[in-house]
Amino acid sequence: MADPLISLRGVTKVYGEGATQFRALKGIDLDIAGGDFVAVMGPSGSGKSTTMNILGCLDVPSGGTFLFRGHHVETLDRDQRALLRRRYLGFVFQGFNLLSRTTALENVELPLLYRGDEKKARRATAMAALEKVGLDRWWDHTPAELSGGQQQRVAIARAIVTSPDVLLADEPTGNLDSERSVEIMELLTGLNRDSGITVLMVTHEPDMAAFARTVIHFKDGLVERIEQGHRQGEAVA
Amino acid sequence: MLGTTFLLALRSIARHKLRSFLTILGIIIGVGAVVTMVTLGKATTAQVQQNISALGTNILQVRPGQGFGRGGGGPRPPDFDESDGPAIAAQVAGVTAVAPQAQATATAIYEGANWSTTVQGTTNDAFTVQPWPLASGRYWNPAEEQAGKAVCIIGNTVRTNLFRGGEAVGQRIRVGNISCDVIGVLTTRGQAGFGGDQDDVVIMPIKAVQRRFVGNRDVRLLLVGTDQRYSSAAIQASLKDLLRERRRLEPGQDDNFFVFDTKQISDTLSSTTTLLTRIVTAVAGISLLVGGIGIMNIMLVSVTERTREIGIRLAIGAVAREVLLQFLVEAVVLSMLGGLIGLLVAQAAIGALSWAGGLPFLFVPEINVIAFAISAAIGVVFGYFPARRAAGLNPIDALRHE
Repeated sequence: MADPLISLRGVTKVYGEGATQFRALKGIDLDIAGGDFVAVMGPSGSGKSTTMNILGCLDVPSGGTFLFRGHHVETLDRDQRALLRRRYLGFVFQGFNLLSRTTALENVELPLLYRGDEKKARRATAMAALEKVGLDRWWDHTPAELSGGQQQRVAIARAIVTSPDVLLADEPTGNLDSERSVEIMELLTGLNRDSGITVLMVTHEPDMAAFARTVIHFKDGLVERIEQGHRQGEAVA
Repeated sequence: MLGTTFLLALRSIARHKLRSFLTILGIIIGVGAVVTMVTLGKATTAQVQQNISALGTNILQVRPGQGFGRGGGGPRPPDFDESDGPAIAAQVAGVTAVAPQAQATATAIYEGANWSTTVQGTTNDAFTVQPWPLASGRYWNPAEEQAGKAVCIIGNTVRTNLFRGGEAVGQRIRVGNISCDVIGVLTTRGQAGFGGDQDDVVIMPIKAVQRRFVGNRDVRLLLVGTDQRYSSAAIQASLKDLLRERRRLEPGQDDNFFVFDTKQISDTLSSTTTLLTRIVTAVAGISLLVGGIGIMNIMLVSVTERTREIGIRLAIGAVAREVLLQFLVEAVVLSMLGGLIGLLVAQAAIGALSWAGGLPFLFVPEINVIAFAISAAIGVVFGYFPARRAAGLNPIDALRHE
């Protein structure tokens, strides 16, 4: 088997000090292969969000090692991690997190601005991403003029516009009704299948987790169990 | 990257037009006030200088009496003797020439034209002490001066009123009840600093004026030219000693003449206007400072309000420096915009106030450049703290911010 894209070994995370100390992660070992579609599940406080923050390079572990593409992430500083996110990661949030009073196209262009693309190339790449999520005709609408499902699709276009290796989605369907949720999941599944993008998704809905190939269950700051080789569409135990 | 940041800043400013305008109002007022005050101060100083230099520099005017508008009671102090001038020229070190002056009012007539004017008697030295070039003709020669010949040099106002467009030199005019030959026409000097048309004058050798108009040989005014290498105070002191002696004043008795130093007056007036300008500019400068604090305040509000946006940018991969730069550039663009509008407002204000105050319209490039640079600097100084706060945010907390 090839080296995994992401590899966590003995990862811990401790918040606070002394009496108020809280051990959010108590030693996580995890391998995620490139191209996988992973659902992360678990009750709140189980450590799944902390793990996602570490995997998203937004936070650093208190102990243990985190290898991404064979490189140690835990030793990188703030700006180095930012550059890593810019180059390899895309984020989708439960609350969409689009810039208000800013058109869909401008929102999608944002990561390209930081990458330093020229205006023309930026436009073209952003339009292509909007087309992938089926919103190219809505490019000049602001978030306020779009439905929740459309906003989340703009957010997905923004996340994939730089062709990242990994898409991190934090409860992407949490604010949507079931019909829109399924649409978003189908979009993510399609991107995973067609572009080979690795999807890491936090969810507490078994229906959504059913779209994943691997399901990781967290409990009390530890990985409880991993269902691998899950057939997409099959119910999650 | 800076170009992009600039673009982002402009977008953000354009999204909040009213707020942006209110934020930069302080800068607009500050820059406007500073530029207006400095420019008007310079215009006033220039005007004062011009008025004073019309009287001539390096000149002492010596008059009988105790000063302008004083010495109301008591007998009128005597005029100067005609020998006082030559005595001063000969005995006071640093005096280049002394021109005595006698004065009368008379009507000048040429053919059908009448013009009431001032007749001034003096010597050729007057034109050395207080240079006044001729437009045409000549000054009188020493023989004519000695003889007190009826020759006259006329100012441009007199020329216009008597001769219209015609040639004046070589004509004979009547002044009072004598007739005299016009030998020269003076160049135009314009309004005097303290009112009165300097060109409305007929100048003749002093002896002619004394004999035909005044009726005595007294001298009302001595124009003393001084060498600028000598201290004016020293010249004045020895001049006063000499005149006291010649006018037979006892020790302890007050001077019955006074010396008016045009340079001293000019310096005093200039330094007064300069000081006033500085004070007013300092007050205006304070409003720039207040404007800067206004920018900092709004930028801090903006950072708090846009915490989530900052979180998004950080998550997307903005490094701390880019977030810092974004907010810093935003503050600088805001304050420079304020500076620019302030400059425009200042030009309008200067135009209006110069017009109202009868001052020349001035454009002083330095102060405009300096004020604009200061407005940019204010953006950097007061924008840095909020920008650093934005750049220091933790992306996870920022994204969770409601």
